[in-house]
Amino acid sequence: MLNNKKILIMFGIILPLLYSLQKQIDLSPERRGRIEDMKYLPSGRFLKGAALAYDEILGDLLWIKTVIYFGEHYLSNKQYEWLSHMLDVSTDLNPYFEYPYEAGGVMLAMETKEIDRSIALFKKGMKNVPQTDKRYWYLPFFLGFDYMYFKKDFAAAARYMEQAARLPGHPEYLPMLVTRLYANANDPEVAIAFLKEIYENTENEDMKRDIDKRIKEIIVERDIRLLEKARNIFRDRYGQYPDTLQELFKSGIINMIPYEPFGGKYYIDQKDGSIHSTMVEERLGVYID
Amino acid sequence: MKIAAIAINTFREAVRDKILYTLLFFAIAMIASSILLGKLVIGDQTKIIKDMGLASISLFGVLIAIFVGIGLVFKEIERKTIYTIIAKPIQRYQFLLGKYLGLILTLVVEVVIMSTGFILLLFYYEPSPDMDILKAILLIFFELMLITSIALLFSSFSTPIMSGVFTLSMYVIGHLTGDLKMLGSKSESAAVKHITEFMYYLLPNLENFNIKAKVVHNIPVSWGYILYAMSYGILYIAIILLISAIIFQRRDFK
Repeated sequence: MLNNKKILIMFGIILPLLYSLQKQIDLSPERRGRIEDMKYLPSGRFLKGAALAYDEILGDLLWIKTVIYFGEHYLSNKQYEWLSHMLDVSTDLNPYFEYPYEAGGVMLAMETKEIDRSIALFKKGMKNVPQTDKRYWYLPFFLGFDYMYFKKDFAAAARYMEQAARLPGHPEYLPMLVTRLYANANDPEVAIAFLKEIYENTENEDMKRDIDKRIKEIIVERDIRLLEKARNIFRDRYGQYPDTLQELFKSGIINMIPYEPFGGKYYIDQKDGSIHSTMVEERLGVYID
Repeated sequence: MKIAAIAINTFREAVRDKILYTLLFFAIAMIASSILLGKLVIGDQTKIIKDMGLASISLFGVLIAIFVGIGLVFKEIERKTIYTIIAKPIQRYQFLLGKYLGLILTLVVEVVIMSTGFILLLFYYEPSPDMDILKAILLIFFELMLITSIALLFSSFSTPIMSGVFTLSMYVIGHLTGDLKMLGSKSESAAVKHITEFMYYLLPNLENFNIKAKVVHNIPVSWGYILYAMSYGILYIAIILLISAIIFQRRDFK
């Protein structure tokens, strides 16, 4: 006969055993390396049929796995072998979902430097995501960024940017940015605006730090260019370079010495009159022709 | 003895319900797909046959385990045949265990016949196929036993339709608990982490029994692992049957 005491004893014996068995099983070599095995992830077009009517939920699950995959490798070896494939499949399964295109495109551009794949992903998104989506404008916006920042194709960049500026939800500064892009594609102000937008939309703290650093580097570049311009005016006026930046200020050419974002100072090199920051050794050449 | 009598009776009932006809479907599906795919596939044809065979054994087994399992107790109550049984000198848990073992017997017959057909087909395509495939079938069988026990548990207090839905959900969840734990461990909230971890160990982990891919690709699976997985299955089944017995013991038949 089963009585309460016997039942309790049996539970007391079996449950801990089950727990330790599962721990043992998880440690065995047969169970390892399961999550990363994306080699067998078939194409999205195939999965769409095979998943019956559950392709969206499968796409969601894969998207979550993609984010985790990115996060893990971002913190460890920075190797993203399967990233673009995973993004491709999850956007095939979930064609109307805006976020994977946007975030995936930014990951590919900023982190893995697969610019062509990033561009392809943004374009795929622009084709599939309904234009009524609140975040739709991010797709042409970041696509324009890819063209400007990495491809140096400023005409294409301005074109996509203009498209973004016509869509609802875009920030107020965007039309002005487009004008500046058409006028002077090499304007650091344009790059800073983009990076700030990416910064706002990134949740990963480490990535945020990286982007923040990049923004500050560009600010340094912008300030140095400004000071160089002022220095040239000074030279034309007085026939020699100023000894210190303070002189530029005193002579009224600039109304303040810019604040160095890393917490250092700008100074003028006495030997050749070049301008530097105490914190940034090399000047940024990324967006300079 | 009493348990065996009920078990054999349950088996007879399953045979009378023409459950073994599923074997015919299995045979047709296997041979037809092997002929069809054999013509289409370039390269390793036996790999596809192995995949198909293992998947079919598992699928047919799960379907039988669920759809027969959920009716086991309910049918007896509905037809009122249970009165004639519990009036006899037999413990209720013995009745339940007998029912369970009867269905397991049915599954043994199914799996053995399907495996024999499957292996014969393999021999037709390959002179000496890798017999590690039997390890995969063994673990599939343990998974089926576990699913049967879950179906019996729900069947002991719920209607067949509800039991079917619950058991099928448990089957799906059981294959996704690994993901549950992984997603939980990425959460920043400690509460979520603890809850998912707790659920991971509480819910049946059916992926423990899934070595199909390894076996098909000739990746060695140690007997140690098989032993762990089998012990896990037996202990989990014991817990489920115990809970079913407790519920069944307290039930009032009207």
